[in-house]
This record gives sequence, C-alpha cells and structure tokens, in this order.
Amino acid sequence: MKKKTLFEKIITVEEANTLRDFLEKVATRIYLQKGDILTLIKKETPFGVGLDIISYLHQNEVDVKDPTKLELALDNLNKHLEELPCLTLTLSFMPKKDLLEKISQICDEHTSGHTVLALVVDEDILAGAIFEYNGKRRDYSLLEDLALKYGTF
Amino acid sequence: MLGKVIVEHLKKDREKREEELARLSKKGEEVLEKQSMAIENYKTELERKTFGIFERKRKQELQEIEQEAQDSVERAHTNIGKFESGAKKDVERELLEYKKEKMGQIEQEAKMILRYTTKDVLLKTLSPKDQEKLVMEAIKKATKEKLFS
Repeated sequence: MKKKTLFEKIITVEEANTLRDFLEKVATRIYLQKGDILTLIKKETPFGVGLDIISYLHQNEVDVKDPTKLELALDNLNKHLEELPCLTLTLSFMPKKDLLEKISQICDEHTSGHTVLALVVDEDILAGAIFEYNGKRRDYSLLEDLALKYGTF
Repeated sequence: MLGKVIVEHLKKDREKREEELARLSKKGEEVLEKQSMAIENYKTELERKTFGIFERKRKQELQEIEQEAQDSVERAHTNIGKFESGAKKDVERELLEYKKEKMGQIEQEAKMILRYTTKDVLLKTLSPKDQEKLVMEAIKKATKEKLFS
C-alpha cells in the first residue's frame, strides 16, 4: 500500500485550517523556543502528522536550525495547504472518517494534486451526494432523482 | 174743456211713452238675452278650445315622458347586460385564478407532506451502510462523468 503524503493525510478543509492555525502558532514560537520547535511539531501537531511535517522539511532541505528559513518553510506549507483544491461534498448524514478517506482517495486518483473535502450535511437531500468542484456541480442526491422523476419534489 | 182735452192728450201721450218704454225695455231684454247667450256660447267654445289645447299638450308631454321612460329602461337594460357580462367575466377570471392558486397550494402542500414522509421513512430505513454505498456510487459516477477533468 502506497504511503500517504502529508497532504494526503489532510482530508477535509476543516483539518487543513486546523493544521494551518497550528503552523501559525509554531511560527510565532520559532524565535522563543528555538531548540524545542521540532519537539513541538512532533508532539503537538494535530491529526498525527507531526512526523510528516518534519519529513516535509527534510525533503525540502530546510535548515530547521535557521529560524528565518524554518519560518519561511512553514509559511510556504501554510500557503500550500490554503491553496489545495477543494471538493464541496454535500451528504445527508455526518460521514465516518473512513468514508471521507475513500472519497478523498478517489478524488486524488483523478486529480493531479491532493484535494480536500468541504463537508456540508443537509438531510433534505435524503441520500446520495452532491459534488462541487472547480465551478462544476454534480447532483446525485435522492432528492434530485425524485425531482427528475416526479417534478419538483 | 180745453183742459180736459190737454189732460186727455197728456194721458194718451204718457200711455204712448209707457208703451214705447215697455217695448224698448222688452227689446233691451231680448238684446241682453241674445248677448248673454252669445257670451255663453263663446265661453263654451273657448273652454272647448282651451281644453283641446291642454289635452293635446298633455298628451304630447305624456308621450314624451313615456318615450323618455322607455329610453331609460332600454338604457338600463343595456347597462345591466353590459354589467352582467363584465361581472360574469370578472367572476369567472377570479374563480380561475383562485382555483389555480389553491391547486398550486395543495400541490405544494402535498409535495411537502410527501417530502417529509419520504425523508422520515428513508432516514429510518436506510442503514448507514446503505447511505455510504449510495455516496460511493455517486462519487464513482461523478468521476465517470468527468467532474475532475
């Protein structure tokens, strides 16, 4: 099984935003806790991606002892997370993590980069899903099915 | 003697005058009677003519009033007809609009009930696995239909 990258482990927009908030928090501490930054990243990064961030820094040959370079690298990572393509997913129920992972995996198989999911829960769509991506909308909800069969439902 | 003759003469003259006076008086009465009759006839004729004039005038006015009344009735009938026709159309139009509006409301309410019932039933009968299966089918369909291209 292919090992997931840092970005692939971030499934939803909410997670991406939480991670971005954390990276900003780390950035503010760079100049205060020079020696402890990597420990901070390892231990406190949400979603268990601390090691992935450190790995990302190594892969990009960031000198973590240089606060300026580390700050710049974290800022780039933050921007990268902000700019991730987004698939808005409307469901009639709150999905479990594994379902979101499956959807995310399918998205990644069909896109060049990693796509994060913006989840909307709307019971009125009854079942199925509505997807919005890059200005395109596909409605595969049961509500839409019924509307097509019986007129405005 | 002479006196007697004079008296006699005077007596005769007086009788003659009285006779003449009686005759004239009688003549006068006759003339007066004739004049009275003429006046009476004239009056009668005048009354007759006046009555005729009034009668004609009255008849003419009556005819005019009658005609005017008839015209009014005809106008009223026409107006009533127009009003009835217009009112009927208005009522029919309003009824149609009301019916359309009510049918729309009923349809909306029926759809709402159907929607709520369907939602209620589906949310109870569809298991989480069924829900997930439908979502997975949807994402696969979306990729087939080039959502990401």
